[in-house]
Amino acid sequence: MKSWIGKATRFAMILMAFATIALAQKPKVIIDQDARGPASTDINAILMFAQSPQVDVLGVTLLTGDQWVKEEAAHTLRALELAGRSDIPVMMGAQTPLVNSREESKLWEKQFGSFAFKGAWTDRTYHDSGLVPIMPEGVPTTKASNENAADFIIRMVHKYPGEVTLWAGGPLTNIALAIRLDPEVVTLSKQLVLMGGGFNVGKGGVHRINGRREFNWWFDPEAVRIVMSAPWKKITVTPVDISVKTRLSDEVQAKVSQVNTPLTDYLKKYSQPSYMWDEISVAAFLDPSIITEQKELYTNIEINHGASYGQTIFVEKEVKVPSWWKLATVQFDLNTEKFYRMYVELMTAPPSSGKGNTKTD
Amino acid sequence: MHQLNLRIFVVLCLFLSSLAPSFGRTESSSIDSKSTSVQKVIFDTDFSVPPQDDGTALILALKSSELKILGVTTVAGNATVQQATFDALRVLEIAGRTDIPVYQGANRPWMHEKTEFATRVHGKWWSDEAPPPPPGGFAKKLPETESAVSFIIRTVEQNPTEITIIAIGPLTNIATAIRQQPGFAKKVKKIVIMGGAIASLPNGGGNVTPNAEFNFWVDPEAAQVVIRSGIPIILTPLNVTAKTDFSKQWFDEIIAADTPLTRLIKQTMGPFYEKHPDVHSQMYDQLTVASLIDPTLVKAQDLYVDIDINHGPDYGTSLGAKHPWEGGEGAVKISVQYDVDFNRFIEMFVKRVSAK
Repeated sequence: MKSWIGKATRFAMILMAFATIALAQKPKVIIDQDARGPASTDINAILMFAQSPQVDVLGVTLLTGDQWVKEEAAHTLRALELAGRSDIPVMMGAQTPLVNSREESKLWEKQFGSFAFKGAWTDRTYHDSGLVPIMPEGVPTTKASNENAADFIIRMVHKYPGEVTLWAGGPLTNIALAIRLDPEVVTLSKQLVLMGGGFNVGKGGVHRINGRREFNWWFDPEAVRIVMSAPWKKITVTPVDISVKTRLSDEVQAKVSQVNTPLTDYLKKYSQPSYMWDEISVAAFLDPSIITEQKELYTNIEINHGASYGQTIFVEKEVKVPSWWKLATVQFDLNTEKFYRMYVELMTAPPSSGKGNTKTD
Repeated sequence: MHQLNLRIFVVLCLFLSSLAPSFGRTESSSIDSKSTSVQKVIFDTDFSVPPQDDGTALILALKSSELKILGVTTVAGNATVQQATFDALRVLEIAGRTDIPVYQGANRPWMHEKTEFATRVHGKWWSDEAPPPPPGGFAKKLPETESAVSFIIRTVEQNPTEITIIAIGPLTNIATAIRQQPGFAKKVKKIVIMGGAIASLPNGGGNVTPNAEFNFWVDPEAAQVVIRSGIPIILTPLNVTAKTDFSKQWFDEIIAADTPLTRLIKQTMGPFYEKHPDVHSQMYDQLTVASLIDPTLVKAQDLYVDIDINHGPDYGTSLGAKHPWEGGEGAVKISVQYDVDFNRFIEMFVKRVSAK
């Protein structure tokens, strides 16, 4: 008996030591997102991070993209509340892209054809940017921080030099603004991981806003040019090409629903069968072995305001390019089994599973 | 201009003011003509010491009791942003106005890449080189730790609809403030900008590329964002600065007075005029400041203006017309200066810059 207690104590101490080391070494992540709610790919990606005990989420910085930034903030705060993660600060950022605008997109459509989806600018769901439509999932009791998204990003990379991963699931306006406000954002960050861009889905153009005109990048092409031309230590891109190999099917959702928590209840009610654009990028960050095919490519975007405005440019590594072209690791295929398993495990974990954050004050 | 001609000119313009072109803007002359209260301004500049025009434009502003400069913000343009910052600090020190804080801003334009052409033509906006010491050495005072954009946003938030921005460099800081802070544009009283060249008006050629003016060309995307922001804008393009003519005569009048600032002007411009006594030069930024103080110095008309931001031969070109055109549907109506009463302008400039 005595020796058992001794062993158990020793084991517990070792565990605690590991836990402390793990906590100290947890990668620090800022989630930059256009968080359409409830339970879209955007919100689900945030939830995967929030549920993971592996990462230290410093904060969620939001911007207009799929929805207006103000309504996204309400949906994000509510989702974090349901996951027991209201400790994660939420910052609002860009309300419009740097240069692109709804008016310009309409002029484009007149010349080159209509878009099926334009995020916050989509005609059939369009409303004032200051309005938060009724939230079926309930209204959050918490509030967004007063700090601006770009300011938060700048402050965090200075506070934890070389440690912060910027993960972006939306347009890149906030990160572009942060870079132009303080170029050190690039050199002080550990890496940039993002969902955006596309190569050959629908042969590059059938769906208009898919293909090479992926939504996140199409929404603010100039921001992409700024961000993708900056000298990051490492860039990882999850393009739409790999998104279309996944689906949040009824089968996957059924597995989530087997467990009963406020979070799984929320997902059961509001998540829709769709490609898992942003979830792949999160999963691959947490476990790179999910990706089975990736390639280093020069990755950038067309910013001339004509037919190709906002189209992704991929150039093979062997090509001689000017110095502002940067190489990114671009993901093209994945182990879907492993990916769905991870998604279900994270979403069915008990509330507050990801807690244990670094202070951001 | 002769006295008689001037009188006819004024009468004619009063008559014309009911039509499109007006002598000064109705809005400007009625709301804030020089007789009313002091205007609070932020001075955004790609500064260098004289002979650079930004330098004497700041001196003119400093010597004008109609303006209260809340801060100087710097941007990469003529010089690197660091040089702009340290030169501005030095001029303020010489002027005995170290009470005016200097905030450093953008070190690069939004999109414009450093090209071989850019390194060949005027301007150091693409460079990271250390700033050379200004005349008499670096100022004792350092720039504020707050960034230019943060200062601009904070000041406008604290003084809604009261702040006029004098923007005489590339518009990077202003565009960044607009995008950083939703609602910012609605709280700015107005922006007076030196920039652009309207090709369809006389003297509409550019000074960097055939049609592009330097400030707009350095950061065309920022210029477009500012023009389209909805902030009331008064533009001083090359069309009107072409009608200014600074020569040794005016330099001599200025340095006849002996003040710390005229000594600076003498030191920096004197050797040039000794070598080239016949050179005539334009007064770009000075006119933007002078016409803010006294809008009746210039003639302006409302035009739809837009900037070409495609990265081709017309990158950074500004276009203006009485009506939007095909491809120019994004153009915005702003007040564009196209003529100046140079005699009155130079009289004001020389008198104020040489004042004790």
